[in-house]
Amino acid sequence: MILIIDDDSAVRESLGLMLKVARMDYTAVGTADAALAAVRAGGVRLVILDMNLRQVTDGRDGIELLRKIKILSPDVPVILISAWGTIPLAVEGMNYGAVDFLSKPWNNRDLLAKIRASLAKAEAEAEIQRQPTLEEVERRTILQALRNADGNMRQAAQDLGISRQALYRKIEKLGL
Amino acid sequence: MKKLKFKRPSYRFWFAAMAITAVAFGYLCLRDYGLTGRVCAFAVLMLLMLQSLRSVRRPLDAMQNGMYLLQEQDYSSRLREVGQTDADRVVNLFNRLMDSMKHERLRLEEQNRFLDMLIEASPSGIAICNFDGSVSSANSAFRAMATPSVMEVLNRLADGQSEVCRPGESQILRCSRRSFMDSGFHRPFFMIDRLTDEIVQAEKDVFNKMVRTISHEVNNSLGSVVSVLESLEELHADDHVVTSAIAAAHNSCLNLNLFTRGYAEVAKLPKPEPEPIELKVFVERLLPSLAKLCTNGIELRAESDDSAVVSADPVLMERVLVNLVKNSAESIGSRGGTITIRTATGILTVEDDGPGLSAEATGRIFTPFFSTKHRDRGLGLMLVSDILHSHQLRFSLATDPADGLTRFTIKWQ
Repeated sequence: MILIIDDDSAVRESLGLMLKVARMDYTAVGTADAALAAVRAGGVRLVILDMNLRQVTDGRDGIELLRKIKILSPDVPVILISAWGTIPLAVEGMNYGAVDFLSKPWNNRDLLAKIRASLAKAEAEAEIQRQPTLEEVERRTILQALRNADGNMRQAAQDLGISRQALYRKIEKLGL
Repeated sequence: MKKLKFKRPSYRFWFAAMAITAVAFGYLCLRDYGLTGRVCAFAVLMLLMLQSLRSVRRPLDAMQNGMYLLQEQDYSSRLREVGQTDADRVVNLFNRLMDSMKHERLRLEEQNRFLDMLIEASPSGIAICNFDGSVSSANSAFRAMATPSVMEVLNRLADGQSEVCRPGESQILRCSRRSFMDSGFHRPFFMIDRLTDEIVQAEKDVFNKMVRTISHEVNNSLGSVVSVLESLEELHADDHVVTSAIAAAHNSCLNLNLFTRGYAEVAKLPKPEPEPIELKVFVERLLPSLAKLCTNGIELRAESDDSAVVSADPVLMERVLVNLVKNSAESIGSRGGTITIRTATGILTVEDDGPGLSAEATGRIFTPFFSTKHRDRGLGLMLVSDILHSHQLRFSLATDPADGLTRFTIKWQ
């Protein structure tokens, strides 16, 4: 689900329409508090954050909210959007962990492409992080070696390059 | 130790002696003493009279010498004592008078020197005029600021009037005409004050704030409108009536975006990061890309007197040159012409032989939003002006009546 954070209702509506046409689920909120509540509730896969909440042009509100969102959910990609985009603000946003920065008015096609790319990247990174633990690796390797050796402990130990005693110890430890 | 001189007696002594002799003579005559006696007494009387006259003459002589010295205004000479009481009294009085006059004169001279130094050091331009209004003397600040257009403004002013002007240059000046009393007549003097920095900064602040506020609002609204239009375009992709209408509306929105982006660019200008730039090399490097701005019939040339190294932000200066060449090219138009970029020590000039600026335009050329071109936002020169002001460089734009060429000149200090 994509979270839209912008205090302008027309912007929320228009982004909503864009995402609906692209068949993506979304939630739209207008205040920092509502945004944090939505993030805490879970299920958010990407955030589109307006830097100028409360009509302030310097973007400080946006940076503050970005920081908090990143603390609550460090892996969720955030795309920043602003009506007065300056290079220093964009750089600061990236430093705080945003993946991209867009100025209003935006191009629907470009924004959708960026959203899809960010979601794909986040998926891939999550996949890599589902890294098996060392124990799991050991278990898998030992089981595979035993299978290859047809249950012969001495052969399996030889294949694995460890002594039979070491293999017994490991099997005991792993609870096999 | 003061030398004890024998002083010749005062004229009173001689008058007294003369009186006594006269009395004696009178007595001798009355008593009818011998002729010898009377003749002697008479002779002595005459002698005494002569001596009295001489003794009276000395102080008179001293006074005469003194008058002569005063007339010559020679306050350093002194009269010498002559050894006669009365004369010496006059001499001493006179010498004391000369002393105080000399001190007074020295004091006045010192004061005048100090005032001259103050006027010369003043950042305000000050010029004193003759009674006919022509400038008789001016401090260096005045000579630096008083271009012909400024002089024209000054000569127009009435006594006690002042006027703020921007005479086609980067400076904003307040010109005043006042007068002081000299020999019973009003003698005019001019003053020129530089107002540039404060005003330019204030203008810039207001401009930036306004652009930010307006852009923010416009961009927010445009964002949702453009997005919805694009979504609709996708939903009705096969309905040509709808899609062409949407395309037209979309175009309008994009034009509005371009419009505000132009101003936003000026407001978002970064602070310059100066580097040493060799002007000749810098211009030559940019020449090919600048030449692309010049359509058929317009020739772009670069001329350089010598290789000068100045300090400026190369990226911002490139934008300045692009804008200046663009302006010159637009001014020349389709009739064809030449644009010359000249570099010399501390000076860069972009010169074109186009129709040029009228006198009225020259006065307003650097005010925001001014443009002689139809539907132009007047942004080009505003950008240039902003960049050059942030570099603290002096610049001017004017059409020279002598050769008809229009020159934009940038001066490094």
